Amino acid sequence: METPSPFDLDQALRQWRASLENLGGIQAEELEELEGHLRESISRLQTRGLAIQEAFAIATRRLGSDRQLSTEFAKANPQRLWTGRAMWMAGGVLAAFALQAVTAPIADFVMNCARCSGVNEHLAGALRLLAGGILWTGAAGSAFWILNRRSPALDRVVRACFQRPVLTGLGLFIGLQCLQYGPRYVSRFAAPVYSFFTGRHVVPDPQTTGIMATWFIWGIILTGVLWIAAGPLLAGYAWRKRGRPASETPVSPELQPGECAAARALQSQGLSLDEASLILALRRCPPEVVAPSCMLSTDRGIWLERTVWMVTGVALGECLELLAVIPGWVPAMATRPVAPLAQHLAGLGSVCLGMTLAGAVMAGLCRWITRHPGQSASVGGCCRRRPFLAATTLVAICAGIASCEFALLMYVMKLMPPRAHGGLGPIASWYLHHCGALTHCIIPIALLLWLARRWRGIQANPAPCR
Amino acid sequence: MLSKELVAASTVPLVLSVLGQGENYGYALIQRVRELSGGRIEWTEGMLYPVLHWMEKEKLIEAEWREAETGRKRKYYRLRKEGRTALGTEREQWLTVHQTLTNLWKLHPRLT
Repeated sequence: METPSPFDLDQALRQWRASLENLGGIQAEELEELEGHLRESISRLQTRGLAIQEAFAIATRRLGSDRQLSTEFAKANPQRLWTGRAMWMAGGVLAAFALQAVTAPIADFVMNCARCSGVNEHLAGALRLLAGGILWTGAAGSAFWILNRRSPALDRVVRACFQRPVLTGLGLFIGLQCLQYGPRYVSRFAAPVYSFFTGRHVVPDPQTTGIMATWFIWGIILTGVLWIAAGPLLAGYAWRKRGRPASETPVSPELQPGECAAARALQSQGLSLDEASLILALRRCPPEVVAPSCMLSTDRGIWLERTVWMVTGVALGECLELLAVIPGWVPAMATRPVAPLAQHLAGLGSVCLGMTLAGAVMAGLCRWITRHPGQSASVGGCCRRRPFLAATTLVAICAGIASCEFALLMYVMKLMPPRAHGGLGPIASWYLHHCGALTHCIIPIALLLWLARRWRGIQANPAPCR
Repeated sequence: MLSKELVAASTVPLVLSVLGQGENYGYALIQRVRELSGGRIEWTEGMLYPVLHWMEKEKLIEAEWREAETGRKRKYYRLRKEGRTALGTEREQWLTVHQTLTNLWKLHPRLT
């Protein structure tokens, strides 16, 4: 049959392959094998009188949708799938850190301006939260939009970066530090500009009073809760967006009246009724109207999936901080050392304790996922199907743990009243402050580079030919 | 048409049996099963490969890349000794089920 537009099989196969590559879970050697299968299937169908794009549509349909394939291949090798996911999780923590670093100083500046204009302290605190939220959402939304548009270019850049892990790690660290400290200085420069135009004096970093401190703490709690709830909610949204579950067979177009004879003729050539109706639909309409049933994944779907894992990474980070890093500081806060050496020891000990606890939780989680893939998959499936229930449960569990920690801390502090001056001491506080940089910046970078190396080891497996 | 569960359960014995007749590659293996079942066993073709790779990992079969007559590379699979043993066990089990069902249906032919 004559085709209305020339069909480039190599181009279509390249697109099919790229779509599978993007979904992850399938190795280069396996893709090679699948492509060989597809080519053979296409040439066999062509000998039965099908046009090349019809043969392509039927062959890809018989092979299975890309999502079905990637799910099945991933099941056979969960380690590979989880390495990719863990990379996006680490990347998500870094992206959230970068976005927070950019938006926080601007939100602070908005609050300072509000306070200096004589606005109520409560209103200024709320304004800071609101401004932070709006800025954050805007920045994340535009990042998502840009990534969607420039997906292939970004993939190339990421691949090139992972070829030079040391340089990439250094660059990421320096870049993130600049992002964290740069905007603070910029906001200091912005203060005189504001003063010039309004005639009011703005203090760049005013002392936080009782009311403001309460708003800060509630802001941190709210952010944590939002992150923890966002993981299952976004997973549920992506699940719904994806539409039909991977296990179902694709729906075929209906036969038009008068096509029964043609369908029978196709069936006599070894095609099923569904396949025959797909071919007849392809012959009726231009090929772009009837999407090939291989359902090529769009960049948007791929980025939505990646975003789900990035958000899950941040949510996991928040949970880990709550479960492990903060409890690590309980001994230091309870004893509140005075002597400089004791402060060093308390700071260092607390960081080590927190990290060890977090490492143990992570290792336990990894072990559970690799040893019991069925259980972890059913938990994931439950999160996707009932996102609101999952989010509420997760937040309730985390809130319960946090309240227990708080109660424990209060009890310990009551038992051991503060000595000379109430606080942790400047040296121990320095450790506490820099622990954040370690957990949000250095560890995720190291993890990302280690995973990338592993990923390269898994992916670089060229098909040997004997 | 067979149920999904039965298709999934019979994949390994079918692959073992086809490879028991000699080495083969993915596409031809699927065609062989389709032909022998008269088109009643329909696999989603891509799903066979994870099974093949799992069987390779379990050392039931071994694989080798070779050049086909078309000039493209093709991965051929063949049974290993462990695979032959597994085939024997599968054969016994499936025959037991087959025998039991046949006997049952012979006793109460109207139930079928």
